[in-house]
Amino acid sequence: MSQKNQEVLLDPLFNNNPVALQVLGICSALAVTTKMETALVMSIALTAVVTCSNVAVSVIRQYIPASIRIIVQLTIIASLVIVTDQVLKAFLFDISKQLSVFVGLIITNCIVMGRAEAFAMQNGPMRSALDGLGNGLGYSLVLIFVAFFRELFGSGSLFGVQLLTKVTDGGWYTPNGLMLLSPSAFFLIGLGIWALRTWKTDQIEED
Amino acid sequence: MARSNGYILGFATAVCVVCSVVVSGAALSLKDQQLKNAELDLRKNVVSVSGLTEPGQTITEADVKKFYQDSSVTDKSANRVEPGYIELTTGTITDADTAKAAIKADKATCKERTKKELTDNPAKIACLPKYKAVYTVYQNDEVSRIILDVEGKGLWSTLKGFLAMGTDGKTIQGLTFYSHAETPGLGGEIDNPVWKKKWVGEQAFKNGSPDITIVKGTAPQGDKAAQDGKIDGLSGATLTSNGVQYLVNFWLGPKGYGPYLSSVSKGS
Repeated sequence: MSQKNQEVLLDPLFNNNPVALQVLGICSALAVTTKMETALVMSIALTAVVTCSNVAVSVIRQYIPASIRIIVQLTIIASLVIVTDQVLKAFLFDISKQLSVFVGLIITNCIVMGRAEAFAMQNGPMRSALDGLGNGLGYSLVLIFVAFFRELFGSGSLFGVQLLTKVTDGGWYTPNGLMLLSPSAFFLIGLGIWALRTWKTDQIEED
Repeated sequence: MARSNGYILGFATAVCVVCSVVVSGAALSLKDQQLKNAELDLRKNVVSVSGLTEPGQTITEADVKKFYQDSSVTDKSANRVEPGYIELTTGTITDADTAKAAIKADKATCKERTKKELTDNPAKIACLPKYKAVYTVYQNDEVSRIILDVEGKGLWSTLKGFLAMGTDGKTIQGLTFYSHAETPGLGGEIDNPVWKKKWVGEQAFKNGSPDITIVKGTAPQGDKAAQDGKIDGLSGATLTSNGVQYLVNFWLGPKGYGPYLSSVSKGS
């Protein structure tokens, strides 16, 4: 893989993370991260959608009339999201019930359309696929990071496996109820951004 | 590069056609699997309020296989849930095939008839069928619960669920919803196990008619008479709570399962 392609794939993980640096896609990062399982499925769903939509938009980019390009991108994204939702309903019914509207809301996730408009419209299908995959993984990284702490401290478990025995079950751990509420995801993302910018100081914005 | 209007129109049409083919192709090819899942989920919900499993236990496919038994099963000693149908107005048990056929035949006229029959309709029942499903739970050779199939309008969607009643036909033993599209975190909290637990043991009737009230905040504590039939409301979800209240009262009432429930309580 060429140097440039590697950058396209790996940059969104830390150097240009869609959630941590561009602060996109926060809504679902709050909503589906109380459990690792839902966060993982949501991550996979979004990564699949953003990769496919990038490729599809990129393939027809020279034929899309500029005046209707946004609506064309949206149509493609919306179709992919519906297909994803149908697949989840068919094969992961319980999880799709927990994710409820949030799979459908991938349509409005700014990361997906952001990548289609900013990258896939200018680059070839191969590179666009890598970009979609990279951004999907960058989003997934944040979701998994948030869900890890929320499930571990909020419920004392990971992937539903009880690791810290709760007081109510005769153990020692008192679950942190805040972790199950949306604000905790804000705090965790904030702390994550802080840690990331301490490590990569060039991401710090000037006042 | 400027494009002609004709090109733009043609392009838009082509995109729409391709996308709709993809979407409908996916929907059609996955339909069977989805229906199977929905059916299994329905049965899981029935079993979850049957009281045959531990409270709070996650219901698996194996539990459904074990407890959910249709009439073809001959083992009449096992703990089980038996699906069946009743005629609503008389409360008599009806043969499943007859009931299903009647419900199907009634589909076209149902809405019109409901509009005429239900003048006061707070639960916004769109279609009041003549026959409805009833699930009878047997435990140690005795009927232990009756599970009713209930539905009504919430805020955004129709709430569909199961209401489990004790053999006296008056005490609520459980409530669960298997299908709704309420706001997650607000109305969607009707799925919250903590809230569902609050229904267990409530006396649903006052002076012979169903009288469940979902109160804002916390239901009165201590005093038994004041507490009965009152359930804590869900914060931020007044309209969904109202919907639940109306639908429970409706289906326990005379136009719903009322006649059947009173025949059950007399029988025992």
